[in-house]
Amino acid sequence: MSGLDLLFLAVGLLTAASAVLAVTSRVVLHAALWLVVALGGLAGCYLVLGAELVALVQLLIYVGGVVVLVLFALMLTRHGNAPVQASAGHRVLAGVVAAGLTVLLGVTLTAVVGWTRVPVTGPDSTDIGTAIFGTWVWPFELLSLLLLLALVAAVAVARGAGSVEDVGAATEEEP
Amino acid sequence: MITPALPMLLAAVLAGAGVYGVLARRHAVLMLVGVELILAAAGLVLVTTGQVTPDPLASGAVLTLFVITIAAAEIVVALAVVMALYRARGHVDLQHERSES
Amino acid sequence: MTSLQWPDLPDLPALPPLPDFPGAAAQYVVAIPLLAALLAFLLGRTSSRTAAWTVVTGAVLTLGAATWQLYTISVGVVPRVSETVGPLALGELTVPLTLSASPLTAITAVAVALVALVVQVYARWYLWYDPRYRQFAATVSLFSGAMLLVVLSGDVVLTLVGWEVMGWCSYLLVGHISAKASARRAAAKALLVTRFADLGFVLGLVALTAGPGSTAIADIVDHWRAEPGTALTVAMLLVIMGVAGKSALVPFQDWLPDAMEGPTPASALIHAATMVAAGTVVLAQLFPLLQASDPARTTLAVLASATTLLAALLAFAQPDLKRLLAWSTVSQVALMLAALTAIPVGEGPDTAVLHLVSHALFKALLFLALGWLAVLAGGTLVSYAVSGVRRYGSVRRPLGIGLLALAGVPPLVGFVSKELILGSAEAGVQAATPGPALIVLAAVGAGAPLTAAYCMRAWLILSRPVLVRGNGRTGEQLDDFFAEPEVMVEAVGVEEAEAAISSPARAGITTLSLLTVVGGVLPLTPFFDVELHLNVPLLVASLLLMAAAALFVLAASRGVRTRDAAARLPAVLNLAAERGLGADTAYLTLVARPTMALARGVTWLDREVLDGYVRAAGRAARLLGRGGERWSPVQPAPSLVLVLAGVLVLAVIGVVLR
Repeated sequence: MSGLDLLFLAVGLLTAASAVLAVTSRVVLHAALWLVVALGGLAGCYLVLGAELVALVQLLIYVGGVVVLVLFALMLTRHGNAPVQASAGHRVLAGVVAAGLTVLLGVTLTAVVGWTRVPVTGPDSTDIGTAIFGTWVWPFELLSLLLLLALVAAVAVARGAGSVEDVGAATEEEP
Repeated sequence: MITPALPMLLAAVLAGAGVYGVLARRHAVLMLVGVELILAAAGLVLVTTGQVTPDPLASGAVLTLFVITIAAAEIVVALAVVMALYRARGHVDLQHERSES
Repeated sequence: MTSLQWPDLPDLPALPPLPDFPGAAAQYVVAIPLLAALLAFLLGRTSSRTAAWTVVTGAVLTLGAATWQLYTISVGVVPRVSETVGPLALGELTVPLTLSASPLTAITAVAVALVALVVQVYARWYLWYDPRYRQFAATVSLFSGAMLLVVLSGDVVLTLVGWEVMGWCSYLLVGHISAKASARRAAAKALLVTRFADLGFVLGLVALTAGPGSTAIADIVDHWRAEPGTALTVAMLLVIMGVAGKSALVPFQDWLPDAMEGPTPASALIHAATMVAAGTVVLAQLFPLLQASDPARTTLAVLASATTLLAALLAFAQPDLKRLLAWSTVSQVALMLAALTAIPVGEGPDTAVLHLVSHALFKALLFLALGWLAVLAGGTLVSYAVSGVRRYGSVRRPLGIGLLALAGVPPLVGFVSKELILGSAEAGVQAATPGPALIVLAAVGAGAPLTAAYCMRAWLILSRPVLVRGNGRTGEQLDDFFAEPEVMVEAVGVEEAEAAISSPARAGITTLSLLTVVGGVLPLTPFFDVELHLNVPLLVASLLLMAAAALFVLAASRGVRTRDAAARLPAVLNLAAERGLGADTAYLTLVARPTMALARGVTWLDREVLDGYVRAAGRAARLLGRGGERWSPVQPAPSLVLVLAGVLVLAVIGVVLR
């Protein structure tokens, strides 16, 4: 085990643990905060793997933006003490599927890359910048369009058009 | 020098946790947390592959960046939908019993 | 043909050198009025006086700078090309954005600056009680700055900028009295007609620029002179379309008389020195290209000649003296453009520019004096203005001088410039391609007596002796609705009314009168390089024709109460002339209606057809959603588990079997 391996093991365990906690915590707010730890840990993993730019972007967008959004959404949709977890049987079923998936993915992926140690030779930030504005420039521009679309769509949906009233009218018949 | 199997195992765990979150949560926002974890797993696989194999186009890092961006767009729209849902129904419980239909 | 040669004039004694200013004169000439406009707009928000001081100071400084520039050019000071905002970096296109001054443009700039100054001074008096005087003053300053930019431009981009700014300013000036529906309509009409023609102008300039890959006028001229051809012809035809719009040539002629709805100072500015003359200036700058392309030259000659004759005829029958002047402007500007086409190949555009300057002087004089008379007499309709100069003696001299110059009576400036045009047209007929020159010669020959005729008519109306009330009507009399407004006892009132004009405005009019009288020496100055083609028989013949026309009008006016010779014409003709031969209706039917119909069609297409698809997509998605809602299981989560479990099983099978 090399130093990098040890480092990764430490950060990875932290990430894995907080990820598991994020999906199992019974308190809504805790789940979101564990998500922060998990995503921050993932950024650490990226750092260990030598991808500083991705790590920074991960921190910036996920921890800085997405999680804040999630927190806001949680606050805004707080609703008494409604159950956050499914029933026990359902949870077991879900756990089985998840465990199966983990095993399947783990076996497949490790089988592909193997257990031999390899040097970390990633592109540096300059290479990434050149690649983004060279090879990947069209997808990049498309992404900007996508963000714009998402923005407009989010505003349109959250402001509540006629369709939302339709849903509301349909559910008003509930006892 | 690093063992690439470790990040791959972590990715598998993250994906598993994410799937569990998607399946077992009744709260819509917490379900989205699971989705985020799955996306994070995908990013980790991409970065690892990019770092340990020759990658002249820097596709590992670039694609991860793209995934992060798309995830940001996705979460924005998804949360907007959740908000609209909440306003329309008063709750965001995915297993709420509907009386009729 | 007998050709006279002017004796060589002795050189002027060397003048002392001027102090050295930073920058070139051209930069000041363009920058000062623009700056003054901005200042007047910012400072003059609350006070008309501040605005007036700002713009008049700006105009004085502009005139000073223009004169300084003329002086530096006459003593041969370089550089004549000066920077503005520095070249633009536009890839392969060179856009130097330079100003360039030649003797001709320098003297045009002086004329423009002079007219702008007089107009500013006059407007302060004329619009004294107008609450929107400030905006007017700022607009006039901006307008003159734009014109000076066009005059001194060395780059077609700058020309275009000035050209566009003038178009918009003319909209503001013509529509100044915006409470009046007719003024609004006239402003919109001026804008739409000229902008429509500007399409051609812009395309033409782009085409011209494409050849040399540079927007500098000098580069364009050099490039295209080396390789004339179809491309040049097409580009020049497009440019001529734009020029025809701004200079009110057939078929765009009808906006100019309607522009009379603007206040008189605005009319004087638009008609005398600026907007309508801009076409001449631009074509003078591109003159070698015009000469290199015979089809373009012939087209312009035909258009200009037709316009000059048609406008002169229409001017004769106008019931409103201001509209008469407007049509005379159309005629005279067309004459300048005609002169450009008639000049023999190889000579400069000097005669046309000379006519531009001379027209600027006497037309500004005429408009301002007529505006003064309108204030005194209550209007410019024939029934108001009749015997105006008898009743108000002070306007007699300016109006008389102006009309004489317009008619081209020696030795006023109008005579000199027109005879030079006639001479160069005659010389052009002798040249290799006499086509355009022949047309122009005929038009000028026929136009001169017509001009004399309508000038004579205007003068006869203005100078009719005041009618003395008949003895038999002293007692009770019927209030005759159709009677002209006779001012009976006006000895005291006239004095006061005439004194009401501000002394600077009066001084401005006097200056213009003086310059109109002595302006005939302009071609002798070193700024003009006039190739003198003096043809004595031709000159005498044209003068005789003019005299005959004047006499004919005099004879025709006998017996008409207002001494209006046009009253002899059938009423149908008078009406048609007043309406510009129905050009307005023609614009509506030929251009406006089809355009509107097309627009409606496009709207319909957009709303009913294109939007239909979008709406259908929305409806389809909604229907699909309803269907899905009906058929899907009520709770998403359990079914998701099943789906994912299925996927997992499939994946395991895939991995194991591989």
